[in-house]
Amino acid sequence: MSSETDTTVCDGNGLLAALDAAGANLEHHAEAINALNVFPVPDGDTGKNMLLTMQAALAAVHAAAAEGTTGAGPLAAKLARGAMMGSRGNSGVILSQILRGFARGIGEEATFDGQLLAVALREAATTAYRAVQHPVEGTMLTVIRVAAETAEAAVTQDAALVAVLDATLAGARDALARTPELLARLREAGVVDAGGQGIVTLLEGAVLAAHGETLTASSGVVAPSGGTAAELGTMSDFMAEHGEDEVGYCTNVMIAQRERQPLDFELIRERLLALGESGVVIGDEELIKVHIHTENPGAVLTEAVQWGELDQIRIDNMSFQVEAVSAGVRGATAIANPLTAASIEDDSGGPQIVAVASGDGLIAVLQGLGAQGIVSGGQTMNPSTEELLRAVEALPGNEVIILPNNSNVILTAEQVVDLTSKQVVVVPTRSVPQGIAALAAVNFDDTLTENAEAMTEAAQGIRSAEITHAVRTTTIGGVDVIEGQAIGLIDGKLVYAADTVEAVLFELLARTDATNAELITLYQGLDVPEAAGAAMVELIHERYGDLAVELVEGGQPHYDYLMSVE
Amino acid sequence: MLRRSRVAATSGATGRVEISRGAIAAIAQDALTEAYGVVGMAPSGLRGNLAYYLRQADPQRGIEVEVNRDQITINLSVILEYGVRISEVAQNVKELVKFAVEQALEMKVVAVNVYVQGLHFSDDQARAGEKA
Repeated sequence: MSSETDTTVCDGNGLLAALDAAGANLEHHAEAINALNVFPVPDGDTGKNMLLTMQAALAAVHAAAAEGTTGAGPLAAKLARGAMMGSRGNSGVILSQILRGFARGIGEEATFDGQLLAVALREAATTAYRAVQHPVEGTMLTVIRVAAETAEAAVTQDAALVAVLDATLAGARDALARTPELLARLREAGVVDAGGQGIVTLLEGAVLAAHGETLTASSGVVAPSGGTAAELGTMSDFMAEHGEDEVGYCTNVMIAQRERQPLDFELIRERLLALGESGVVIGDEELIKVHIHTENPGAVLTEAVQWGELDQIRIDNMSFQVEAVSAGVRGATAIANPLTAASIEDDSGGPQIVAVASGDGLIAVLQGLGAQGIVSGGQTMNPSTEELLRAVEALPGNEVIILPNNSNVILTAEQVVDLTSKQVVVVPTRSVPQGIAALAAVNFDDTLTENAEAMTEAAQGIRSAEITHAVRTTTIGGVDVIEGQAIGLIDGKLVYAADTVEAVLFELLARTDATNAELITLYQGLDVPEAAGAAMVELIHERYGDLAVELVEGGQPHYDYLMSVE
Repeated sequence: MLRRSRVAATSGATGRVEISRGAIAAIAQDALTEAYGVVGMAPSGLRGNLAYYLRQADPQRGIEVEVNRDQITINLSVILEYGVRISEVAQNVKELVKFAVEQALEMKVVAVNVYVQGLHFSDDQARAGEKA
């Protein structure tokens, strides 16, 4: 997995190779994984969503490697971050939690052996389970958990890295094959869980890389694994035929029962498969899902409508898609296999957001709320127009909202509007807490203007206050300030100075009418000792009783506390 | 003027079916326990707040159902696990709840509004580890 001679540990390069292979294998099988979803449930495009998530993770880890990040642990952390930021759909969110746990398990180690791999897989499973109140068994959660258990058992037998990895894959395949036993809806449809298949597919790629085989998007095909006997048949048919014919129309349709007449699945399957290539027809007597490549999509629909009600009809011209991709329309991330890329379109709607902030904690909160671009800066170091422009241009979308999060940055941000061909709106937030309130109001289904209005309103709905220290003796707005004193600002205006942070904090609370507020959020600064924030919360509780106070490690420089009062 | 109703109702040839808002909330609540990324509910009176977290007492806390004629709107106040992509989980929750309710009732859900009231840190050690 690392160099050719040393297969006992995996280093950063080995991890990169394994991840690339895992991603390539998933790319190759994404469409087949989509096809496993028989019922029109949310997150029907499991393969696509997992692939988009994995591609975002790979892009992040490669960017980090290019900038000099080495070592398995640090790279895994970048991978997890990328997956989180790029997670798509339910299965993508779960995958991002799995990768996050994996990264946490590797920790700071530059290399990992079989034993640490087992630890990381256990952490991956634990993390994935923790983010849901009622974990459903028979899904990708089960697959990663059993894989981790198998890895742990393998370590006691033979701790060699490749042996543990092989055991992991075997465990995952076994768990996948048993998903229909655990989940009735899979059993009824005669398929294995799509997300679980995605996990197995990723592991298969990694195992190939560990055995020194190279896998690229265009060449490598791992034999499909897991599944019930019937399912294996379906997947094999799909794999054998797929990839040969990239002209014609990719035709997808669901056939539902008409007036509760059972569908003759075998007959319908046979008739439809005769009409094209790369056909996947799965389902039961209530519902059938059809995926087929054909020169004549009309004939497929004509045949299908004879049997039942049609739903979710989608027809794509594959040759147009191929041309579009070749012409570079799709951008850089999905080019490895243009044919697959063509069928995996990114349909993210809504505006994208650039926010200005500094401090790890604040940045994490903003990103968690959906800010795709972060420009570092804030109170003491305002970003340039150019930096903001670059962040706007770097986003793939055409509609961008900028959150300046500082009164001194608003004008700079407004310059960007005229400098780009994209549609840009500045929501004039004067502090990071205002920016956070604005982000929480984003609705990705709404238009740019609607969002800008809702965000502006949300930002104005909170009072924000800041506490820092005076750098010189002066008088501002009638307030006398002595160098070194703690000073308090409300909505960007200096209102009070005192010798202690506590005194300023309570004055700010009084002036923001905290008695009638529902929630105070304190963002603790970089230079504030950890215990000080908690002590401050205690003091507020003593004075204000039941008022809810939330302490967040903002990590911002220079400012002891940022505060929002709602 | 439309009066906000306590029930959703459909009338057919064989009679009328009424579904209480509580029943609709129960369906939503059931779907939410399986919604990936959601680890709790928050009191819905505190809309717009960030990072507000209380342990769950009433299972239907944080679920508001509004019915206008046969139009159902559901407001959810949720607590998410720290480290998930919030926008994506919120989108998934909308789809999941809409799907569950529509499938159970065969009535149209016109809107599912998700209010993310806070984030839950499963363990502080992990949080510290990731910051390093």
